[in-house]
Amino acid sequence: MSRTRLAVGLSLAALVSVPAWVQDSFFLNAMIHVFLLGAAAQAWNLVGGYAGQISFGHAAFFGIGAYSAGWLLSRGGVTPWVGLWVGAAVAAGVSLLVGYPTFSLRRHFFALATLALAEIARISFLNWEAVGAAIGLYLPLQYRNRVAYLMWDSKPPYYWTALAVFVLATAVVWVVDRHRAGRYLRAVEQDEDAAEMLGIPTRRYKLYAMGLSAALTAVCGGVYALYVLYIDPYNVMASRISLLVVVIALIGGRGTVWGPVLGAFFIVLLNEYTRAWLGGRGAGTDFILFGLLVVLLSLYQPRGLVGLLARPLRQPQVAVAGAGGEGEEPARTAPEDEVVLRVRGVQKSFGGVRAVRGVDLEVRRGEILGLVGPNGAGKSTLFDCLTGFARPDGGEASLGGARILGLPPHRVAWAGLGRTFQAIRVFPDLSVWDNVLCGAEHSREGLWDATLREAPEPVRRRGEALLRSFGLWEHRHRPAGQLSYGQQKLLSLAMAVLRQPQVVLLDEPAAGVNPVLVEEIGRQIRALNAAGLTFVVIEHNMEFVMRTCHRVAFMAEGRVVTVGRPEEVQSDPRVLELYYGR
Amino acid sequence: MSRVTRRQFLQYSGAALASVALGDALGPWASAQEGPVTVGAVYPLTGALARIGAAIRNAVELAVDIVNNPYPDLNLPLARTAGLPRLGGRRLRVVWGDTRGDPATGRAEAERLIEQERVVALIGSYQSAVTATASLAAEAKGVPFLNPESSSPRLTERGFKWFFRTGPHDITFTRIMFDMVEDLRRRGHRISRVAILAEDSEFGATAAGVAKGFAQSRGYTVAAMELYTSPPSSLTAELLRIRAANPDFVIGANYLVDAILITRTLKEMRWFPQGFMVHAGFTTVPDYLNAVGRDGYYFLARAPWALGIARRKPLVARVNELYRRKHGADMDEVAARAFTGMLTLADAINRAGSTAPAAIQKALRETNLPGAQLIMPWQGIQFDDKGQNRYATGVMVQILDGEYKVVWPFEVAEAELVWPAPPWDRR
Amino acid sequence: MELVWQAAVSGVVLGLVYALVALGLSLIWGVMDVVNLAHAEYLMLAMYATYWLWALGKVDPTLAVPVVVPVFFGLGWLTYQLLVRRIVRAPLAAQIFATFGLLFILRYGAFAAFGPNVYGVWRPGEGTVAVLGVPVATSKVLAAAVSLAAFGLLAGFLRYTKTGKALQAAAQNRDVALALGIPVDRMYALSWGIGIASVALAGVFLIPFYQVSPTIGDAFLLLAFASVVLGGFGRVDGALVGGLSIGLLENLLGTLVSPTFKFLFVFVAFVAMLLIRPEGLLGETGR
Repeated sequence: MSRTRLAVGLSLAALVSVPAWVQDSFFLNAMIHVFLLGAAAQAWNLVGGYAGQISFGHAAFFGIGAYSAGWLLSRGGVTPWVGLWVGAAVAAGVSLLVGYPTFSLRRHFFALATLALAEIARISFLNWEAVGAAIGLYLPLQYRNRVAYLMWDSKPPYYWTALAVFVLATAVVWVVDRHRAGRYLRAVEQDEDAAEMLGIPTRRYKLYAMGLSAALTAVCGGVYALYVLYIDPYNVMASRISLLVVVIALIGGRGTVWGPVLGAFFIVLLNEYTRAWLGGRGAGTDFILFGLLVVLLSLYQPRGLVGLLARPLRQPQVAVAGAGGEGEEPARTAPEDEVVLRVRGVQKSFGGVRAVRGVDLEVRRGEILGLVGPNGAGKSTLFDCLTGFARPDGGEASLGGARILGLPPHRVAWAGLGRTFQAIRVFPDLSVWDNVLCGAEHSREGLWDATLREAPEPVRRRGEALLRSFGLWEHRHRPAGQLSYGQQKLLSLAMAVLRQPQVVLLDEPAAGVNPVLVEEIGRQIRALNAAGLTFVVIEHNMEFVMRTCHRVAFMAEGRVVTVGRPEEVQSDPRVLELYYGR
Repeated sequence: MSRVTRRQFLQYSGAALASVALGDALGPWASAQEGPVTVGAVYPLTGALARIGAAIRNAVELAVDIVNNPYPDLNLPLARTAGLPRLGGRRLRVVWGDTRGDPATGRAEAERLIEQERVVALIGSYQSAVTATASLAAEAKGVPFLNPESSSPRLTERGFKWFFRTGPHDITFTRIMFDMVEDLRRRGHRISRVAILAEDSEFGATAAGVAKGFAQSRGYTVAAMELYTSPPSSLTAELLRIRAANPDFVIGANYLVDAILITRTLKEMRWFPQGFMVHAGFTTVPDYLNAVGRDGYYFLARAPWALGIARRKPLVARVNELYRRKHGADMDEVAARAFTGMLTLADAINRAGSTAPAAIQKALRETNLPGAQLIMPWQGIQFDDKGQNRYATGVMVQILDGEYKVVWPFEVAEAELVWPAPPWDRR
Repeated sequence: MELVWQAAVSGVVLGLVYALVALGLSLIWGVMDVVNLAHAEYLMLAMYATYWLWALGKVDPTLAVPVVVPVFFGLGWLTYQLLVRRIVRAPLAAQIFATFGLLFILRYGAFAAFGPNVYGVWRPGEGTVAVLGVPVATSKVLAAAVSLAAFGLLAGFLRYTKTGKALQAAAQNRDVALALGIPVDRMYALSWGIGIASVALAGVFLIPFYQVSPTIGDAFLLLAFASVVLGGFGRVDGALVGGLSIGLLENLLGTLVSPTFKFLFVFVAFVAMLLIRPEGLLGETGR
């Protein structure tokens, strides 16, 4: 760790000292472009790399920054020290306005929307008389050579200003990456639904990344305007800028701190020097190369140059025959009488199919309630309705007295409901440790706090304890995607229970694993239950159900047919008929 | 070292050898052991305007050739001598910077030429926005910047001390358009409504704004003003609106690409105003007629220069012949302006008798080239205190019978101005 | 009123051209859920190909169809085999970036090969045809007619031929199609071939009245997306309806309100549709 810091410190010192021994304008100009475009790429990295929202329209923010600082200076004599931040604020505001409705767009639609929105911005500025429309803005020259106005005749001060912006952007990304906010953003990028279910307010984090990204990009645009001293929509809002920023972050490695840094040096320097060397005929040949690199990287090395250089250690997958820690069978506690989760008359239809037809259910605090029934009975759909992944057509549900039906998943999580999914959902590219910490309590977590600080001590201690008891502690630095199926199942369980929700819904926790692990999972659930957690478990493995559950509810054709102790339900004639036929 | 420098180096060595031989013959006046005087040229050599850049390059190189070699029968500055006489016969050399049509790049290239190539002056850059930033570099470093062809009036309103423009700007151009219309009114034509169709970058928008101002100050009604983004996929909407506004004539500020589409759309709509006059040299570039054929007839364009001037000025024909022999095509008005600009700069460097920028600047201020020594239809070249050539003006040309003919001022016209243009079904 | 009528007719003609450009995009998107960001670059290349055939070989653009279209069919097939095949099952980001990189390669390859200049085809004696009383350039009418024919052909192919139905099956449910013995991989390649061939067809008929340069892809890509989204992807007629809508929007609003903002209207409609009804006018929900 300190070796990295030393390397970074030395490189920074070297970069700062460059103007002292290099006077070549061409080189300094190229470096200024490296810094400004690199900073813009870092800004993009926040929303396109970490949050996973690919934007092809960032030039709009660049332009907003350029115009804000430029206009304030030329019309009002306002110093850029203020103008740059005004631009940042405006850009952030616009990005939130734009992001709010568009973040709900799935798949390619968000990227397409950003393309269109950037064009809309450009056309608007092109026709906006007050900022010069097509003629553009010439920055007033009488302010030159004053630090208060960030305008100079010579290159070195611009060099240092640009370098400062680059360092700022990288520092922001570094801080985000190291602490909770970065973890959550990457979780959101990898599996938005799973993140929601853990209580991470995904839209809030996406907006946060977007606003931060837009603000930083605007600062880059503002400094660029002060450098070039002339701005018009073709130069500061062109799609060319949007695409270049994406290419830099991509080739360097998006979702990493140093990716855009490497990418900026590589691409911008190559671009500037091919123009000088190849002149006429060479126009665009470097872009062919960039295109090729982007294609190759998208196929083989999504981590870009950083990925190529870091050469992650590929550890072999560990078999998990007897995965799990040791522990004795905990004492069985009796559930209380208090009803913690009350479900009344929940209904859900999909087109003509009535999946859930009025389900009534009462879950008592401290119990493990099994939910069994043939496939298609509506069990998972019921879970979806309760956790906000499906919109029920009717009914109500309350958890600990608070209504939860109809709330978005993260709010359901905040109310105290946890869940695992039938198909395992962990965050494959995050480490096991990061994964489990995503299960922390999020309801009172501030964005600012999440950016600047790691999870509090008690949370970390509990996470460690869980991982140890699941036998995952020694794998805590591995990407979760490298774990075996069974280990991932245990991990998802750990994530769901970390924050000790009032009720945890488990969707087929014992499915698809070998019998030893089934036993282990059952033991863990019982142990957690003994420690006070309430579970509702969908399962087909009857033996598991018999051993683990206090009560069983039998569901068929969208309704709860009967509820009772496992033995009772098992021999209920209605159950036999529905399960096996007469 | 760029390829250009290498080529120039070879050229120089060849020239040096020749000069040594010549030097023995001419004695102490030919001190060709000294290096050439280097001037920087910043133009769009690649990008969308590469064609223009290439034409300018040819023209500038021709001018340099004329300076460096004796052309005893050409009445151009420095043609008769070889090299720059007041600098001991030193030759002139140009190094090129590619702006890629982008202001930031233009500025970077200007700086590179000043610092690395140590040019004594700069010439450039065609696009007004690029000229603005490139000349900024020159102004900051105290190097003279000569601009032959940018049309934004702003450029000479900045209070720069090192910026000189030989060519006319939009205000001049627009004035000659309206002066021509005035002449037509005096001849009895009823003209009162004007429409403007311009592309929306700095070039078009500036021209449109100036045209609007002129129209209003001279009492014409601006019936419609439409701006579009070049290159357009369709101009039907714009032209339909313009037609609906019933203008008597239309002023356009368009690029070649747009012009072709405009022409075709007008034909499709079967409409043409009394006159359609355009800013920009697109109509004087052969590509236009190749693309639209007869449909391009009757368009008018303001031109700072046209080949038709040769009728009254044999010098023009001579220079064009030289150009044609080397490059296989006639000069166009962009080339003519660049050619003239380069000669003006060379003349000033020569008069300065020194390569010190301040001396060249002073010499430029004192420039007084007579019209007879120019291929332009100007009275001469003399810079006012803002750096603008006060005699810069242009003519109006019209496309007739497949050629560009000078039609105004009537005194220098080579063909009769056709106004109003005949409707489509009578062509 | 006449103004509106003229604008509307021009809008329809223009819209049919947009529809043909969007057809391939919609087909590929619908069949394998891959959004081809490089789609408009193929249009540009086809226009160049047609132009060079005309400039060097004196081949009239209409006659260039039997040459250009099959070649681009092959190009589409090849693109699938070399690149797209590997990203069909890849995460979204990989798909977006792969076609994004392809855009760069094609566009700047064109720059390097052809230079930045603009080229156009000129045919002497180009006349006009009266369409519902409005004079429209012959080449535009021809382009519109070809567009309609192409849509009809494709719809017929999909509905009435065995291969066409196999293609639809592969589009609707890949795994089931595989289980039924349909060579899904080949169907995907076929859809790429057809998709690129159709945009090449659009290019052949565009070049007589629209110039080509390496960067025209910019404008057409967004218009193609807008057409597909407005009409609804996954359906052949979606591109038709979408293209017509875009053409009408652009021309009508552009003429009546303000031409400077004509693309603004189109893009705002595009974004609005994305937000309100992403499946488009004709699409079904839940896709």
